[in-house]
Formats: sequence, C-alpha cells, structure tokens
Amino acid sequence: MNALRVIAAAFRLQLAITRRSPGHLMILLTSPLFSVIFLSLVVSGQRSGTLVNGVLAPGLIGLWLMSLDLAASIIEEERWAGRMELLVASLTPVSLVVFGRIGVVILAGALTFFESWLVAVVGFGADVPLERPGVFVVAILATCFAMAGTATLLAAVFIKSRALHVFQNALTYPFYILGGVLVPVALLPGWLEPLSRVIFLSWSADLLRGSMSGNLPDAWPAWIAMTIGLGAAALVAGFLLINRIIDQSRETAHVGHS
Amino acid sequence: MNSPSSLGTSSPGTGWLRLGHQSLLFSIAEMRTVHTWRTWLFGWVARLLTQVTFFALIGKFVANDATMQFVLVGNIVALSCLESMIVVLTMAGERRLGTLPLLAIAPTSHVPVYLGRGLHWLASGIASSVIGWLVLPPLLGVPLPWPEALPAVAMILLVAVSCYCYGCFLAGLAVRYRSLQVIVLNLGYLPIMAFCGVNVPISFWPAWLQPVLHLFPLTNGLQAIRAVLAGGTWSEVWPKLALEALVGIGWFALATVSINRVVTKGRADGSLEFGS
Repeated sequence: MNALRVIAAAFRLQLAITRRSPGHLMILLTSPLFSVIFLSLVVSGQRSGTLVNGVLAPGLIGLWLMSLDLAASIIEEERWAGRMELLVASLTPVSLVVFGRIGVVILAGALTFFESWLVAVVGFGADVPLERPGVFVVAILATCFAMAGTATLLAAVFIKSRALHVFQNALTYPFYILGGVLVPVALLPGWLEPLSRVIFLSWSADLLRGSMSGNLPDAWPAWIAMTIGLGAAALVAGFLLINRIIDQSRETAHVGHS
Repeated sequence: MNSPSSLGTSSPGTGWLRLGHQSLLFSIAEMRTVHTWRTWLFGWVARLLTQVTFFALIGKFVANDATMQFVLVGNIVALSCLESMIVVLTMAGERRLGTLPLLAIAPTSHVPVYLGRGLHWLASGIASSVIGWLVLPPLLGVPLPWPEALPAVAMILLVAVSCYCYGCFLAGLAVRYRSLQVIVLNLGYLPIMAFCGVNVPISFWPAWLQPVLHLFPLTNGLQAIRAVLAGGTWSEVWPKLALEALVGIGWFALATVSINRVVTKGRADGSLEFGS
C-alpha cells in the first residue's frame, strides 16, 4: 500500500513536471510525421493486410522513444537540479519513484496510437479495422506495463553509463527491427528470431496487429503473458539495480555527480 | 590562430576564407571531443545504417525488391541530410555558450562563424551516406547499377550542402528560441523524410503539394540521383542538380539574413546576451 502511495506521488510529480516542460511530449508532434512515412509506404505498396502495421508502428515507436527519453534524463535531471541527495537520503525507494514517473510518460506516449489512427483515417482516408477491441485494449495495457518495466531497467543502466547518448541512440532502430515494430519478426532472417523474442515488442506488436486485423492465433493469451512476463522481469531487474546503485552511492558518498 | 585584428584588416574575401579555415579546424576539434573513429564508425554510422535498413525492409515487406531499392536509395541519401541538419543544435549550442555578444563587437562578422558551426556534421553526413551507398545495397540483396552509381556520390555531396544551408536557416530559429532547438530540428527534417521523395515518389502526394516540395532541399537532388541510376542522360539530370543548388543558395541567403537579424535585433533591444 505504501509502495502504491509512493508510485502515485511520483506520478503526480511527473505530471506537474511534464505540464511545465512540454519538451517531454515532443513525440506527440513528430509521431504524425512518422505515421505519414509509414502509411505512405503501406498505401503505395498495396500489399493487402499491412495497413495495421503502418498504423501501429508510430504508436510503438512513440512509446519507446518517450520511455527512452525519460529513462535517460530522469536521474540526470535529479542530479542537475540538486534533488538527488535528498532523494537518496529519504526512506522512499528511488526505484518506485522512477517507476511512478515513467508511468506518466507511458500514458502520454500511448496517445501516439490515437494520433496514428487519426492520420490514417483523416489523411489517407483509410478504413482501419479493429476486429477484437477487447484483446486490443488488454494488449495496449500489457504493452504499456512492459514499456514501463523496460524503461525502469534502462533508467538504472543509464545511471551507470558514461556514454548515455550513445546508448540512447543505439537503442532505437535496431530495436524497431528486432521488435518487429512494422515488419513482423517472422519475416526476418531465422537467426535473428531468438534475439527478437527476448524483446517484449516482438510479442506485443504481433498481438496488437492480430487484435486489429482479427488474425489472432488461439495461443494469443500466451503472447500477452510473454509481454507482461518480459516487462515484469525488466521491472524487477531495474528495481534491484537501482536499489543497488543507490546503496553503493550511500556507502561511497558519491551521490550528486558520481 | 589568427588574431581578430588580422581577420578584421583583411579583405572581405580573405577574411571569410580565414574564417572558413578556422571553422574547419574548430569543427575537427569538436568532432574529436564527440567521437573517436571507432565510436563514430561502430556506434554512430552503424546506428544510421540500421535506420536505413529498417526503412528498406519495410519497402520489401509492403511491395518488392524494386521498392526496397527505391526506399534504400532515398534513405541513404537522406542520411547526409539528417546529419547536415545537426547544425541546428550546434548553432543553438554556440548561442548558449554566450559567444554571440563577443562576436558582435569583434571586427569580423559573426555570420560565417555561426554558419560554419556544423561543418563537421556536414562531413560526417556525406561520409555516412557514402558508406551506406557502398555497403548496404549489396548487403541487402539489391545491388546498385555500376558505374551509374559512381557519379551519384558527387550528387550526394551537393544534396548534403543544400540540406546544410536549409539547416542553417532553421538554426536561425533555434538560436532565437533555444528551448525549441530539438523540435525545430525534428520538424525540419521529418517532413523531408515524409514528403520529399525519400520513401515514395513525390507523385504520390496531391498535385497542389508537389511544386512546394521542389522548394525543399533533397527533393531535386534525389530525383537527379534516381535519374542517373536509371541510366538517364545528362540533359535530364543537370536541370535537377541546378535546381538543387539553387534551392540550397536560396536557403543559405535566408539563413544569412536570419542569423544577421538576431544580432541586429539584439543590439536594438538589448536581448543579445540573454534573449531567447
């Protein structure tokens, strides 16, 4: 219960910060342009059944980019603003604060799915299918949870990184390919599949596409379980890593600029 | 390093040349602080090539090998555009460093200094595109026709310079509104990616939009490159190249006026140091 209260407080904090620094929401401006790029390719390509790929990809990319952006900046901003020492000195677990703050960005990032749908319908006059709305909603929630878990882990890794922006940059397009964000993993070279399947996006992207087109296998609950499972594993690893780093910082007295 | 007075007493042409030389040295030094050749090649360029691969795979997924090659060529050339436009961030960064008031009182003009602040990204963009041009088509199974693909390398250079000029114009905005620098860069670059013939021919877009697209960098140069690859004649190609150069010159002129106006206005209303 106490943990939930911390997460809720962190959520409110990030909400206030985001209201005052709209730079975090930049993806909401750029995502429609990604939609235009993907949808123009899909529409001109004329391969049947690929419309949902073009509609969903900007949403998944938007979520990923926003999570990456916050994961990279969250600790850096705390250090820069001089709040890190206070955060470490308090009894509240920093990992819960990070998770709660990331939650806001994830929810805002989910708006990119709506934007993409709007571009498809208004800009391209497309008839976007949604055959299994119930599964779609569950899939979106599972995706958001997994994204929050992964972003928490990344935030922990980024604390230790001396080449933050190099990592941040490297974690974009390679992941879009491996995660099957637009081109399904099944169409990639076979040797890439084991690598792809440890990235939650590869499960959630297939799941979201299937829920829209209605082309879902009977085992779709297992895909949801995989998405949530991989997200939970990342979340636990992120919590452990952040707590460990904070403990080390307390012991060595290197907090603000370690 | 030449003293400001030596720059100031030279003829304008020599002064600009010296400034160009100094900007080049500064750019090389700055690039060395950002990257070693290993991080540039295996981190930066490798990531950019993955970006191109991502789009090329979409081309194959939604259509066929021909579309894949079309998308591949467009995105390889667009790399030079993307990197050249990082001048938006470097110029805004220069303003943040507080050099503008000093340059405003220096005997030399601040304009060439500012416009030269992204030369290293221009060079990096050209290099990334050329590497992509040589490596990716055979790697992805859609080789380019040689020797037709050879003159295209020189055309990539023209496209990159033209995009750099456009980037300098946008940088004029980013210098004024520094908190918007990343937004300016993205909203300057992504429309080029979306509409200027990188992924789909510009004939895909509504007829009223197509003439407007020719006013942007990359559109005409990329068409010239595609014409060369298709075995087009020189008389087909050169008007497109001339138009690309003209577009670049136009954006450069606007950039010069824009960045000059920052100082003129700053002198007039006292916003030179802290204005944003």
